[in-house]
Amino acid sequence: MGLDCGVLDGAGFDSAAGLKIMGGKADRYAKLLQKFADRESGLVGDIRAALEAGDTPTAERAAHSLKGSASTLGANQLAECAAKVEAAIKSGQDVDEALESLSDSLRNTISAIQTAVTE
Amino acid sequence: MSNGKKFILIVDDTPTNITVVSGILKDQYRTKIATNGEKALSLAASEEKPDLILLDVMMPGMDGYEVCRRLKESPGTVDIPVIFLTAKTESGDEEEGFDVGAVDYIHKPFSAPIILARVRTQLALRDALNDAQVAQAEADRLLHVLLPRKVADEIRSFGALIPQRHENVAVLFCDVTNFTAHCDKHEPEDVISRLDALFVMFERVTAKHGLEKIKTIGDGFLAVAGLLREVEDPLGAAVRCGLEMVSTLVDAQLGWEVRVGIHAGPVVAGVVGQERYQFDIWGDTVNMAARMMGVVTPGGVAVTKEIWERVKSDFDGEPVGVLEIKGKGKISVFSLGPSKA
Repeated sequence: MGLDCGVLDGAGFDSAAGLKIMGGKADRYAKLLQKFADRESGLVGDIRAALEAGDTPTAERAAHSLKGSASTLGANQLAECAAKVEAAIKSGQDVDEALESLSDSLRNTISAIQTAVTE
Repeated sequence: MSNGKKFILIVDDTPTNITVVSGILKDQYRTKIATNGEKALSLAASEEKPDLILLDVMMPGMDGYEVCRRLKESPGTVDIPVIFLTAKTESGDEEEGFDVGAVDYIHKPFSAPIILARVRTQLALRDALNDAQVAQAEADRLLHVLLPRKVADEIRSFGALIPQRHENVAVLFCDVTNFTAHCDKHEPEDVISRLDALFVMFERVTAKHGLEKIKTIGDGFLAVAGLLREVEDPLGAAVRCGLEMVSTLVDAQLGWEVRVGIHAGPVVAGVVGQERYQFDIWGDTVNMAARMMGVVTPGGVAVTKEIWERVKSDFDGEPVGVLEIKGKGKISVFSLGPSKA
């Protein structure tokens, strides 16, 4: 499994930090990124659905989990957007705007992962 | 199989974090995963308890703070160190983590060296604490072997025992009359094992009558009634104890005879020595009990006339005579027999 860290860094990653936490093992890092991309693609939709159902705790927790996962993987830009959504949900202000940014960032992140990781 | 590796429970609902944290720990520790609070509590309380728990805060259902609170409320899990591992980074979050009993708090994004170092530190602390508890328990056990429980507890709590005068204490001395001759004719192992058996028997008899053993001196045995433990009739208890000691020895057919001296009155009690604690009693009452033991024939229990007057309604006895007692002058001595009851 190949990994182009330049593509990741161009999409707001700190791939060096992500690699470091994986003990420098690019193969493991690539696998984890791929799983993350597969798993999290529908996350913004899930947050919106939870908010529409009035279930703000679930929406906040989903944003919080994404923040944690993204930061662990070195996806710093995505982690920042997720943090803004979490804060917006908590305060009840500017949620739509924050979600829009998160949606864009998540799409870019997943796209970068799909490009950077090769079989 | 544990393979001697410490066991760490990782509690997190996020697959990415579980994979990363497990990957960091797996070479040095055994790990198990719980993806929610309820499962974490169940695993923590199972027979194989984790040595440490890494706990996420925000999880569906029960959050990490509540999990930690419940772990600390349960006697079975209160000692398991908990480290929060979380993306909740406000200082208030960290404070709440420590409030509910966590020992450390690691922020996400985390680094492998930080997780490993914090885990290692907490496990080493836990081991040191366990070692200290074992050593303390052993020290307590030894202290209780050396000293009466009440004395040991006071020394443990306050670092010293305040010497006290006790007014109505019955003192019992006994010794083996032909012990020295026996020593000269028998192997040391034989002598000591017989003496040990005898003193164990004496300990049992003294405890049965509510007396407390103070010490052994060579082939002698010193016990008291009414000193640290309240006894309704200290003198009566001491006499019954002395009579049983004499008759038990005959029954045991150890080939020895003992003699007993009893006196009652005030004594001073305290602890002397620093390298080896010795709880002891002093005073004229102690001396008189020793003197009575010295004048009675083997198999007898001797008291002064003063003591005889106090116990004669309950026990048989006969005058031995008026004897010259060292340091006391001429004293009328009585030898006691079985209880009249």
